[in-house]
Amino acid sequence: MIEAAISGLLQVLSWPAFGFLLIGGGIGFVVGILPGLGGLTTLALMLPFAYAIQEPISAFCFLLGMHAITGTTGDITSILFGIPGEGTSAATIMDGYPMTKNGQAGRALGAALMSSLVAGLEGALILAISIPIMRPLVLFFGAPELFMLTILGITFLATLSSASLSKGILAGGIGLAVSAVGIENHTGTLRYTMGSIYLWEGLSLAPVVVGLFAIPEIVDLAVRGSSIAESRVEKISGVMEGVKDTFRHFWLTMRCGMIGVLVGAVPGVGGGVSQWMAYAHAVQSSKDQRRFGKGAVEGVLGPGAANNSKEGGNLIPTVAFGVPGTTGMAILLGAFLIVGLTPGPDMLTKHLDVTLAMVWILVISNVLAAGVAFLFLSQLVKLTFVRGNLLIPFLVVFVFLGAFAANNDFADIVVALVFGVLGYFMVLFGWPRAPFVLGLVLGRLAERYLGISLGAYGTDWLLQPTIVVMTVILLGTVSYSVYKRMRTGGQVVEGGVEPE
Amino acid sequence: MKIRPQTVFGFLVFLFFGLVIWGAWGWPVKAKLYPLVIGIPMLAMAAFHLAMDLREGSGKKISSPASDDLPAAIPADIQFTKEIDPVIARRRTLDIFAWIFGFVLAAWLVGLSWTIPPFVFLYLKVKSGEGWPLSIALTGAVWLLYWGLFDQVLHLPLPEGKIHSWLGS
Repeated sequence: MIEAAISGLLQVLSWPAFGFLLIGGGIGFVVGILPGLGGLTTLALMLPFAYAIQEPISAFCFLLGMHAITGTTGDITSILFGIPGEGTSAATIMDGYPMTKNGQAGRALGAALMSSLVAGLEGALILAISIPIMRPLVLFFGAPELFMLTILGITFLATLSSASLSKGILAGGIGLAVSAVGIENHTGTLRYTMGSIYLWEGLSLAPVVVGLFAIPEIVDLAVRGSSIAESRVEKISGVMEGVKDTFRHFWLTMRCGMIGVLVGAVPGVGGGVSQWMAYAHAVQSSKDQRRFGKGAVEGVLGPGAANNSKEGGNLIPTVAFGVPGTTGMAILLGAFLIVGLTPGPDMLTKHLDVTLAMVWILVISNVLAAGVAFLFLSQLVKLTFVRGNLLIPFLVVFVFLGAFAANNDFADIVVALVFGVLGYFMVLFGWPRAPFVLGLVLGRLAERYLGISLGAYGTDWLLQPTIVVMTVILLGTVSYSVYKRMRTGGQVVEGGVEPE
Repeated sequence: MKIRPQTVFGFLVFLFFGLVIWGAWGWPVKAKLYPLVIGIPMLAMAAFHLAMDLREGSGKKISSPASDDLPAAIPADIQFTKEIDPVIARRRTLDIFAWIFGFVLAAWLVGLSWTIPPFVFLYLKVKSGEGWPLSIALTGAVWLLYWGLFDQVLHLPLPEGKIHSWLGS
């Protein structure tokens, strides 16, 4: 493993991989700060570049480096303007924004950035430690277990990513069904190709994801019609005080980092939840809980730590089982397939260097992000005043160029447009997009595992002890979700929920 | 009974799974197994969802989740801005979709290379009312990025427009 770790590090630091890390990190940095442009949208927009990069470690340097940094810089706008730069940065507002109003913006930023760095490194370390522990477990799993895991992953994501259980599950089902488009390998049957040769190979992930995520965000940007950050921020000072706060409350930072890792490792729970849980822990573990919500630095340290460490946790099920914990990881899972890697046992044996390179990417990008943010904090804040109208034509052009880059086929542009319209209506009516993407990504794998299971065991595999346990977990998850909704709303709740 | 837009969407999802099953029915077993394994339970769930939606639309009150229910209360997806007047929001939505569809149509007719600069310029100058210098500068920046990245670095073979084919060039 040490050899693979050294090999992974050297590959990350080699050219052009490190160059891609810098480019991806730079994009993630700016995107994280801009409130109107989400990290997910950018990750989706940049996914087609994986086709062009092809080399796995370079592709992950670009995509994972970008993804890891958006969370760190997303906290900046949460603290300064009370508007989350990222959906997962919302909990930082609770005490970060009051600190700004109390004239302690610099201290809050210093605390958020340093706690993000410390916990980000903690997340990467836990990911590295977990690999030898996960390996025997993953190698024990055969096709039936892997099939059940794909279904479990989609169910987890479906039950937790929407106020409506049925919408979440149906969204996952649509993704699974869409993945069936194309030639069926065993019989050569053309499935749902509608006479189009373009569809023989199935739908490419990149144009679908680009359209699904970017177009609704462009529409929202156009509807808002202005920059989000409307109030000017005075000179930022006291950053070092915030850095010292991280070490004054070091164990709180580490505990909240651990919460981020653990929650991040549970498929479907997502980054937002880990931040709120860390915030709740910071409040509960404080002797004076009345300070929270009014500008307590612990209320910034907790979410700041969890926000970054969750990436390490998220990668554990994504790499080991192909079951991503968040939408970002679901998109990243697409990158695995684009560069020719299959998540699962191979990632812990044959491609262990790639897995460990991911750990290094997390470490290096976190250190770079924190360093650059500290150096250029005042200048970076000015980025938040860019008007949405100036961003829109850029985004439209790059959405369709990105989609086209997948196969160099105009049909990809049409696919991006169609799924953009679908994505718009999904967001409008509160249908979560993450289970859809996961269904699409895992659909082909699920079909392969199902085919192998039936071929090898007939229907007997359904009675294997591991499958029975997984089925019980699956049913338990759905039942608990239904029970929880009935308890909170009287019955299964339909419709979206208001953002916190 | 008033049919709500989300009910229509739910019906389309129901129809989608119906078509998934109907399309797969005549295929060999190996080809239809997966679509049917997915399609049949999903059709049942879509029907249940539709029934719930119709019931809600008929006036039966559905409560909101409790705010202290942390995981369920945090949306895992974006939500559209609600601060804008719905009439204005609808107009702006149609407006931006018209621009997006216009971009795709123009790209199909004259090719991406000939669409990108005029699109960016017109959006900035006409739609957003930006000044000439900013509109020209940003159009140049987008073109430069497009040319540098997609043409020079990635060597993306951008297709000619249909008009070029019709003119036989």
